[in-house]
Amino acid sequence: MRLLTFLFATLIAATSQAQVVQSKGNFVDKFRQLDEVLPTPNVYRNAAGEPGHEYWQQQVDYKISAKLDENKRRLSAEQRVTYYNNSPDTLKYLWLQLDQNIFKNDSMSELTNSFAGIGRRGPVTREAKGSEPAKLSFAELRRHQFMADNELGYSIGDVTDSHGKALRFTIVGTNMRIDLASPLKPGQRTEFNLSYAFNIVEEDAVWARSGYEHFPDDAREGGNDIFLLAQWFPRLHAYTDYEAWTNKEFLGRGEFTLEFGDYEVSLDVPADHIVSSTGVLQNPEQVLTKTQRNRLKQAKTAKRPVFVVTEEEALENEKEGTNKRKTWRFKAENVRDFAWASSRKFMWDAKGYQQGNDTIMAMSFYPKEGGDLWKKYSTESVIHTMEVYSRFSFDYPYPVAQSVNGPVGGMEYPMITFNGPRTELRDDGTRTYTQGEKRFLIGVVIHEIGHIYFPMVVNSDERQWTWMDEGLNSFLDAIACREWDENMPWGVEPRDIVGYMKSANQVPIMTQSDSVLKLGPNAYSKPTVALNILREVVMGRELFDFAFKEFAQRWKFKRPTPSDFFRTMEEASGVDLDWFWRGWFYTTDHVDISIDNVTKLRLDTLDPDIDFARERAYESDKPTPMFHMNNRAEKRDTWVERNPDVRDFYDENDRFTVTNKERNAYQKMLKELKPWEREALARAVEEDKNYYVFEFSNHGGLVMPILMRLTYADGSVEDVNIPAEIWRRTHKEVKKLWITDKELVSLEVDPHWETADVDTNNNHFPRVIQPSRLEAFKYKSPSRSTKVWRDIMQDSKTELTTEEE
Amino acid sequence: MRLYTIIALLLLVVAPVQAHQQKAAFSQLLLNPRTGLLEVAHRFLLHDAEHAVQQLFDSKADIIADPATQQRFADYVVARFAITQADGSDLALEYVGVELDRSFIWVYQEAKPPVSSPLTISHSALLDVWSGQENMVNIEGLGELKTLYFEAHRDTLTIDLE
Repeated sequence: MRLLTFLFATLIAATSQAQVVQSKGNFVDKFRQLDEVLPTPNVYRNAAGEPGHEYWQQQVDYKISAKLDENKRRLSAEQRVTYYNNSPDTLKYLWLQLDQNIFKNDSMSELTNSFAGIGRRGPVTREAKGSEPAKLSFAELRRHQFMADNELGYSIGDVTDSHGKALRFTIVGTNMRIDLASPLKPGQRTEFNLSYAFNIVEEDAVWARSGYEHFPDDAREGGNDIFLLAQWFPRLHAYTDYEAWTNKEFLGRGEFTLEFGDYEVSLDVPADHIVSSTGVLQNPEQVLTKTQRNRLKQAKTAKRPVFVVTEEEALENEKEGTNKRKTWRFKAENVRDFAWASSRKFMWDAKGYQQGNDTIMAMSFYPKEGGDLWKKYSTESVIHTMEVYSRFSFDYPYPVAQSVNGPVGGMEYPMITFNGPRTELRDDGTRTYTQGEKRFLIGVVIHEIGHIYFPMVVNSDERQWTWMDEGLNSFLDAIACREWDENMPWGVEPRDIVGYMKSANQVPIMTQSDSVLKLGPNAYSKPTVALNILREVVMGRELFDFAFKEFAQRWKFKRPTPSDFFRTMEEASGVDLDWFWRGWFYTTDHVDISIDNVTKLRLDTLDPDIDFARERAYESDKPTPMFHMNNRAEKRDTWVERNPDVRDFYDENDRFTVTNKERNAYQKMLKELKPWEREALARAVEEDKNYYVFEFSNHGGLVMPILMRLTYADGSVEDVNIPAEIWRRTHKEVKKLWITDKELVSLEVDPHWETADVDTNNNHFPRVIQPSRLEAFKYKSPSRSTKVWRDIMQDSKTELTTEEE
Repeated sequence: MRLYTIIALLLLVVAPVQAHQQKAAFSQLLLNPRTGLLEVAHRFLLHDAEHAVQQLFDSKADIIADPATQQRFADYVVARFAITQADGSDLALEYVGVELDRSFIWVYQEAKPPVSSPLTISHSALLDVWSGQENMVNIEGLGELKTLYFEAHRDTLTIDLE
């Protein structure tokens, strides 16, 4: 892994060097092609950004029997893994991911979790400062106590080959190497068995991506739990053409890099639990009642979600427990991961989504705490996501799509997502939610279901590149949210990231997940805005949507890298975007284009009778010198005025008087012109157009198209986009000649705020005083700008609220 | 090693990572050359603020619909933002207003510009509500743009503007 880190560092260095810092002059080639930065195309990934003709990926199939011990909150399982080596390499060992080991007290993640450190995941700690003592939060205490009281991480039992012979294995933090009895040659497969168990973490105590949530106030004695199980079985690390084993230690942030495969999973849980899982339920006769099975059938064609388990049934269910057990069996084909949820608290609704001839079951599982918010919107949001995302990529490729409420704010797995929004129980016994929580539910379900496309199917390498799944997915979820309700403020507008774009401490989007600073703006908002600009400004929707869909379809059920995305977008659209990837993804440049000056020019006619008269007019239009004006005010006449009797030729003719000498020269010149030159001149003189030169400068470094709004004297307005390529030979300033019949009054750059231009003060010619945000606020709401408008006389009658109330 | 190291407890709400509740605020300190005033504009995600007011004030507080809650939130923010000059005096920040704009809530303050550097800025809004909150501040119009990041463990930072 050290090798990879080193390679990555050189890549970044190479990137900045590729900007070609010259020793002579200050030219920076913002349009330098990316070929020298991107990995060399090969037979696995070609220059078009497509899987190459010898593209391969491994396949890993799992058969797992797992048992949930509710009282001990412990999961134990046995699994048989079939590993298909489709690579051209011979493998002597296999690497597995032991994600539960991140919770061990001596894990790299725990040991490197710095006290009071930057960008720390988990509860707050604060170092001592002056007389202020160091501080620990209750949450941090709870976490420490939970981790001290519970033995966490995997206990790994037997690891054996298909003949039952023990295989040697070595555990390295969150990774495990299994040494094969004999090397696995290309095209061969191998099987091994593995038994394991672990204590499930309490999500709210440990801050994980899965775990249990306890509900102490439920009617049942001792309360109930919701179990969300993810990263719960030892999963094979991906073995890839670009990195071999992707066995970078799990540090908590950089997510998962996984192989596709088929799963058969048996889940042995308390008999009164309802289970939601990746895959299709194989034994409904054994685990569901006849009524429940009928309701599921009805749901297939229902207009609105149908309850398979109603609220009343769930409430009844959560009052009691049972010693009986049931085993739910699921099968999933071609998935890169497997997650599930189990609880006696779940109600369950379902609705079929017709996709061509297929019916996909959209389903939601939630406790009473989810309330009407979940009943109304969860399953409908799942279906809306599939409708929108499929338009931009491919048909939803699995038979079910689920949204499950539990302690996790939002997390995605194949066919199943965990989503956090809840309702609040009020004193009158009702459950209410705010408008914000409603937006959160719809938004988070769309976002997490969207992840089933990216990266669960378009299987990017999450451990390396957060932006490839979060950026692409946030871009699409913004579209889906605004297609749900235009008023939903879910989209990221370019102006929203201006503060981040100009801020001082940043890393480029192309930074490995664990090393990113400011993950939200870096991996979510900035790529979203960049892709939006690409779609709406640079490429246009038709070209962008075609290329984006091409990318999704090329890499459906395959593993793309950033270069495959960059190359496909260019290759499928026919638009050179190397400058765009360079600026937005490889640098921390921002957009700040200024219109510095506009000069008006007029073409000489060469005809002295016209040109001399114009020059005379130009001269007389100049303001009268103050000297003359003040002399006149003092009634101080000039010598000429005082002596009208002395006059000569020059009193009648000024220096702009045309003589036949000039006229003859003009005629001679005309005669000597070639016929086409004569015609061009005659036409230009007749049309007498206005010639303007616009002078722009680039203060932000990021080259972008210049979006101009031209306003003319006749009141008409014209929007013109100059492609970014105008900056290719001079990246700091450019001039543009503009010829028009009309009289130009003003020019504005980026009038619709489409480019994330960080300073709009220099976007107008002539300059317009731009009120700051605060000034604009004062102007529009003077009444709210001061506390004197509070009715304190009335407000002071308010009684103080006490605890008892 | 100090023998008696005191550890105090922070009363913080446990809030596991929530997608979309980003726990990220952004503020701009801008010396407006036209007015000569130092303008402070704090931007919070409405979704963050919405959950915060329910934890801070009242579980029924509704920042989207209720102007009184917006005002209370603004008062809360103003009380947790301060600029101290090199001589130890606090910059007199005047409250200007609060407004909702799409998915954001903005709180405005202004002051006469500082006369000395370095400035000590403290910005602890929401840092006391949950962990993981990050407040980014861009300082503009006072020389080269500078950026500060405030987090729970460092809610006070000093910056040299020379």
